[in-house]
Amino acid sequence: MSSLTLEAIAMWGAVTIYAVGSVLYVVGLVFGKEKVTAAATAVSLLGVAPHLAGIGIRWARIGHGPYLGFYEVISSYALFAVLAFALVSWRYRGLRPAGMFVMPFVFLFLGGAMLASNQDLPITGKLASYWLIIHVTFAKLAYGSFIASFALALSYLARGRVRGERWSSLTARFPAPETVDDLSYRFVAAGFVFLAVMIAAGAVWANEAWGRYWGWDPIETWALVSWLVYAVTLHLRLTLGWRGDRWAWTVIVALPAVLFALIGVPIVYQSIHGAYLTGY
Amino acid sequence: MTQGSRSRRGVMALLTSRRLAVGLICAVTAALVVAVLDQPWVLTSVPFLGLVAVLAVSTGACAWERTRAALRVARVPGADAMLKRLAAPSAIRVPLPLDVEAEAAMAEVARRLRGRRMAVSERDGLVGARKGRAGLIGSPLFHWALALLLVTFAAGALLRSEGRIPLPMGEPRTLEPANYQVFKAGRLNASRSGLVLQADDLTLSYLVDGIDAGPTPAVTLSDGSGVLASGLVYPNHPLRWRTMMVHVVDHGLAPKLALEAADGALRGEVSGFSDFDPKSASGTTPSEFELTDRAGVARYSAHVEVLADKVTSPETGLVGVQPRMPTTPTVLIRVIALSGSGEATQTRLAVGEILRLRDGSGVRLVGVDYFARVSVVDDPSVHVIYALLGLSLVGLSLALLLPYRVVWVGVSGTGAHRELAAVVRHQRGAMGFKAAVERLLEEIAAR
Repeated sequence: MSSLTLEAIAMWGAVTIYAVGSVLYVVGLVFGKEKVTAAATAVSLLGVAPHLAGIGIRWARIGHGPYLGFYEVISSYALFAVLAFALVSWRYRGLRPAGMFVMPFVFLFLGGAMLASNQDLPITGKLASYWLIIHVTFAKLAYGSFIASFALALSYLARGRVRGERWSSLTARFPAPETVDDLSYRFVAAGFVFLAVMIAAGAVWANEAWGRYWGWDPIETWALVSWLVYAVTLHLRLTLGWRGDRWAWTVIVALPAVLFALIGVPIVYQSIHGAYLTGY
Repeated sequence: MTQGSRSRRGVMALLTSRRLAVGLICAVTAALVVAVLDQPWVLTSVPFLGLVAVLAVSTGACAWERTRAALRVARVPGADAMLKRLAAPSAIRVPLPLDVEAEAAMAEVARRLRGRRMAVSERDGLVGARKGRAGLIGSPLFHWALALLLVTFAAGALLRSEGRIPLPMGEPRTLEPANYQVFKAGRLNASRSGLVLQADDLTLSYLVDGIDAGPTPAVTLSDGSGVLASGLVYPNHPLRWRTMMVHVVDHGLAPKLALEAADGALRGEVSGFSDFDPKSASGTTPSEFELTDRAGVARYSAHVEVLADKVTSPETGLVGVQPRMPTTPTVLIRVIALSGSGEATQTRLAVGEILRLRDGSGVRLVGVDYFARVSVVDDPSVHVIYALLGLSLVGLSLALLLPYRVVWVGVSGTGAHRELAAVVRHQRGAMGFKAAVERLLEEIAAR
């Protein structure tokens, strides 16, 4: 069996498991079955194994990590989102039902990636640099953190607003609101630091590669816009004391800037930078 | 307080206002969004630059204020001051039962706080514990570094020079504006005179650890006294000398033409630069020259295109250009007289062949070689920017990921009214920390 076939089996296996996990979350919530919700978490996290295997098989075949092309990039972001959720749910069991926000997102991301071309894209001379690994790793950590904070903000708001005994009993098991609020802040803070490292690493690499550390390329500009959006978010929290609902809504409103920088800009704008997502 | 100091305080209060900071960041962000929507003029407009300047000043003012705040927080208060804080309504209070010895309770408080890996000190009957002291310098460090970064970006734009220069193989080129195809320099750029660049031995496919780095010239930078730097130049591997960097951009073909008088005497040589262009009939872009007579008067205009080898894709049938030396280097040359009838003469020339003009002079194709187009950047601000980026990242990490926490605990009251009182401070105001300290005191009181 060729490595391409093995990779396809592993990745479709992961998609299927994430889909089953998403369905189990919905069933558990609709019918108020706690055991089904617990099973949903276990199943969803099981999907990490074939997902990692698929990425590993591809890495061994083409000689580089998941940084090039829509398929690789979106697949790796889906993986980081699941890993962030795994970390949160391991530390705070009461937040496991928050998987109902995370897993459908992961399933759609990975499913979308599987429908895109998975043509092997080799590392070219322009991309052959250690800065690529640093830049891309911190990008994934940043965006994964922001997605996790978004899910936590949704969980915070859901607690105070859901109607019906089933939903109320579910959200009542979330950790204390102050804890969810603080956790959401911590993910934003971590994501902000990671995004700053990503931008700085990108600037150093751009200077090494092109002789200019900043060129107002659309992707560079939107990365800076994302960073500034979260700078405002953090100022609102740390200096103006925004907490609770106001903080949660701020985090929710901030995420689209990051998502557009990640996916929208490379598709909408033609730039040398955009090749990482659209291929070259 | 004098009028002057009142004004200074007012200005400082405005510059360090949180609402101003949020407003400025929002305004800059909005301007960037407009700029990326195909309106790049915004980035050099006076209002935008003014906004960024105010942001830089505000950031510097915030850095000053953050520094003073950090120094204030870091100071250990005296016993009297601490007792006053413990008596304040905002302090945590947990009743201490009569059967619990105050000293034993305080010893247990110190032990439990040490168990939380806090640095504990005991004096004057009070227990103080701190954690994350390094986090205090985070915010001031980050804001100072950011303010200095904004200033350095501006200074760098004024000091920087950059341009693209084509280097025919084996021909030195002086780094002066006239030799660049594109060149710009900031107003304060100190031009380096007398520097010479030369490219030799272009390798079309240079392998680095098995990866094709593409066209790679050997480039030498020298001045009157000798070689300053030399080496292969390929992506992510520029040539460096002090604050200067040379990157390879692309390559093309350089036809070398000799201008001969009617008697065969050599008048001069000139190299053209033809880029590969799949859309053009010849496969390259033309070079344009003026041909002058002995008195230096331009007599003809010459238009030269190197005929590149074409290749047809077997899958798509599309015709492309081979970006390498043609098998038989040939140029298509068109010469137009600049005076009189404007007569045009066009022919193909192989290497060594000559085109005779009406006045008997001639244009000979001496040869066709490669040229490497390199970008030359001289920016003294880059290393300062790197250092400030590093400092800002350290400051940001300390500020956000290592919050400063301090707890002061004492016993207040007497007899049945004794209480364990605590003052708690968490740099990011996390409610969970205060609740955890309160739980700790309740557990100790309940023992």
